[in-house]
Amino acid sequence: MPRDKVSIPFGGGLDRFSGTTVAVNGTELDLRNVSLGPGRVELRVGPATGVVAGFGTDVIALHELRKTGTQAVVVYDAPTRVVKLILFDGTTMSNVGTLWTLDVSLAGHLPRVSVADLYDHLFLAHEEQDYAHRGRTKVIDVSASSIADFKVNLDRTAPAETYFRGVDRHLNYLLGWGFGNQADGNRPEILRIGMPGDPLSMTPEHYFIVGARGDPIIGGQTISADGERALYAIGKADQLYRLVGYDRQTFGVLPADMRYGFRTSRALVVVNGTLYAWTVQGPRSSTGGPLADMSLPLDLNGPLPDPSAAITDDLFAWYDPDDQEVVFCTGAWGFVLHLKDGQKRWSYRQYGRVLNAAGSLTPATGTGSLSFVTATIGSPSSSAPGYGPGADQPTVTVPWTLSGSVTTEQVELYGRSEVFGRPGHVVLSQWVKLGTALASSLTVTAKVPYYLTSFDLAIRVVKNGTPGAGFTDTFADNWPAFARATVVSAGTIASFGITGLWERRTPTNHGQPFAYLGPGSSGAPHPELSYTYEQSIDGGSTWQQHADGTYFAPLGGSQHANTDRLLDVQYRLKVNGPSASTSPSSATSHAVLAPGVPVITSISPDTGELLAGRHLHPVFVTPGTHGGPIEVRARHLTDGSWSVSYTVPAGEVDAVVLTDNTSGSGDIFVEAFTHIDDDVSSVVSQTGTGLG
Amino acid sequence: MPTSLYFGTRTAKVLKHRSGFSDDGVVYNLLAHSERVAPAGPGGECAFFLAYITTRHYDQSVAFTLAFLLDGVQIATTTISLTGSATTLGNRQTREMSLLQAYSRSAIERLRFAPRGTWIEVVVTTAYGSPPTALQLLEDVSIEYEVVRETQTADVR
Repeated sequence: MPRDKVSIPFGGGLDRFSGTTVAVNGTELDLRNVSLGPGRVELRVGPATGVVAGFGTDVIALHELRKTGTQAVVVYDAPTRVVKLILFDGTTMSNVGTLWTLDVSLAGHLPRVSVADLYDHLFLAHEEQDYAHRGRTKVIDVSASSIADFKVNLDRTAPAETYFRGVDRHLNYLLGWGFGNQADGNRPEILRIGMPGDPLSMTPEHYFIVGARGDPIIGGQTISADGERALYAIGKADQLYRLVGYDRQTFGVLPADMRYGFRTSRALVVVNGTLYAWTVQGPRSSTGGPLADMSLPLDLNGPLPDPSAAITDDLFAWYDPDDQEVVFCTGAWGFVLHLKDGQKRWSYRQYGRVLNAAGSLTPATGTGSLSFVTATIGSPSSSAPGYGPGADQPTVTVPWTLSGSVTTEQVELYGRSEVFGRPGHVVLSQWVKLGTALASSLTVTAKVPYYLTSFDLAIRVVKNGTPGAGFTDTFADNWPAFARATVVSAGTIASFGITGLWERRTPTNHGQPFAYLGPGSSGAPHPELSYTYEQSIDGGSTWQQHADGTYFAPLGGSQHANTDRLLDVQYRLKVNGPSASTSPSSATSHAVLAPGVPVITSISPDTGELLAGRHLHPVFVTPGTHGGPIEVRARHLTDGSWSVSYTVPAGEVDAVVLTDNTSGSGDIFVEAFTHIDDDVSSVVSQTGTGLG
Repeated sequence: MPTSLYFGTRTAKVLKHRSGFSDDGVVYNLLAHSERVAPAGPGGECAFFLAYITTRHYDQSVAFTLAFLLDGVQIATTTISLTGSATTLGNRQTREMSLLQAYSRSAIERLRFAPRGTWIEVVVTTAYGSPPTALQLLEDVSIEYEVVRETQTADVR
């Protein structure tokens, strides 16, 4: 008689929630790095190969630009807090430029960026909850690869900068949320809708207040773009709303779920009309109504399956159409929802790398073999280079000569700056495409990155998006010499200066804060530039390099021994490099000198006891300038504590009025002193004459 | 060109999905830990004799390890290597594996016996330390048993 058999099929997915006696046979207690099908399990494939972004520490967003067959890659550099945009064509990375340099208070966590593309324009919002530190919303003309502030006229005056927390595309509209208008910007509950077919315009009154005022919209996702059934999900922390309608006359916002919302803006995926979102209580799904729970098999309130499985705000999601999987990823851990056969099963993923973002890309196919004309670069000329963006941004004009008959060819101009990454060590930055022009125009003028001090230039001929033989390398040094040239232009620092008074740094050191002051109100030295920072204590005859040596932005400040505060200290700053500034910007601090001896010249009323409301008029002499506030205070000679005091702001003041609110009699003691340090006060007081 | 999925990493790289069996060169492994099964019920007891393992594989060689746990104690383990070739592409194979335990005395095997217990479970892992080079499929593990004692109804008075 044959024995019985019990079958343990695989492929049923995780079930950590059910008790042993009711768990379905075929489910697993633990399941990692698999792809699942009905009754089968197989090892997943992985991202085995990749391309280095060439900048920064983290790739934080990927967004496909289908028209150009490229991918927008947003990269963050943690040490400098610079966020850059790079275009990726599946093989090479091309730097477009800097989006933001984030405030130092945002260091320590990964920034989030919201990206949308409409009508050849790419919109990027700095998804920062703290409005005060949120970066300006940017727009990029994809065809020109130029970054600009996204300005719209929302208060009927003039277009001005916007600070959206998030942007997205729904139908033919640009959606932006988290921004009111220029006068009332911090409106986290407002959803703005752009003009149809014109993403660069918004009308002031076309917005919705979603839910309670002040309760921020976290994110959104299109569930359906199907005409009258168009539906867009808008999530808050604990609420879900629906944007219904298909145009300005029919748009409306309706509540969908008043208990659950979105954990983060990036942990959302829509697959076949179903929204999968991670809420504060785990994954849920919706087709436009309330969010239904999907988290039970994961038993998220139970013990973690692995220490790396803890959910963080960096959680994000993607859909893999090949394996039909929705993956919620936090760091190097993924929660995978398998949808292949309509059955929803869960498993885990352990990744060998910490993942920050996911996005698809369909690279352009190219046009095959082409015949090219040859362009030989001429003598470039450049405008006087400055350092600020906009009006201060220098331009370069590059001519060329052609050999051959031109048809549809274009000439691409590339540039590269000399960047000084570390003291004494020259690092050449990446080649950046500066502009394009028809080959027949024989010249191109383009703005160059404002941090350039001297730069190399190179041109190549491109036909239907494909460069000619010998010009396919992304490193233009490998292009033929006749296509390259170098322009050397000195850079200058418009000004920098002392922005504060002497302040205590350590018990034995004092310092003064510095800032880069221009050009322009938004001026800031480029973080890739280095400066030499020097000081002089003998009136500018001799200069010593500051102890901090070479400086990288942002400027911090000086630091001196306590005794140095009695000196006039001069500072100067200049750009490093072979074309370094010959006119460094300088600033002079004021010495912290002792005020003169105060003398009481009158007391009002001048007889009787020192009663409430009695005024003293001490006079003292200050230096022509003084490096900090001077405090004057008075007390009865026999008292142990000071009865009145007055702080003279920085500047020239040689007389003050003290109002004594105490009673008593006897001689009055008055002193003046600088008050810059807790431990070492420059006390220079003497007694004044009092009346009894 | 086909659409591919890419990942952005904390190492400032853009990785192409489905480009191999590693994460940017870091090897990962499959783990599948089944639910526990009690053929004779939660209060019963069985003797387990044989396991039948059904696999299907592709054209590359792969290896994975199966461990059988009886009431939480590992009683048997085996590593299955599938030698790939074009002719075995998609082949479905079922292997037989003994779960009998050896009883030895004075370093001489005297007899073999079938382990007895209630709950049996299976843990599958790919071989650690070497990256697999192809997909592998595990479909089913069947275990042959005899009931030694049926589930007893609790006598509650």
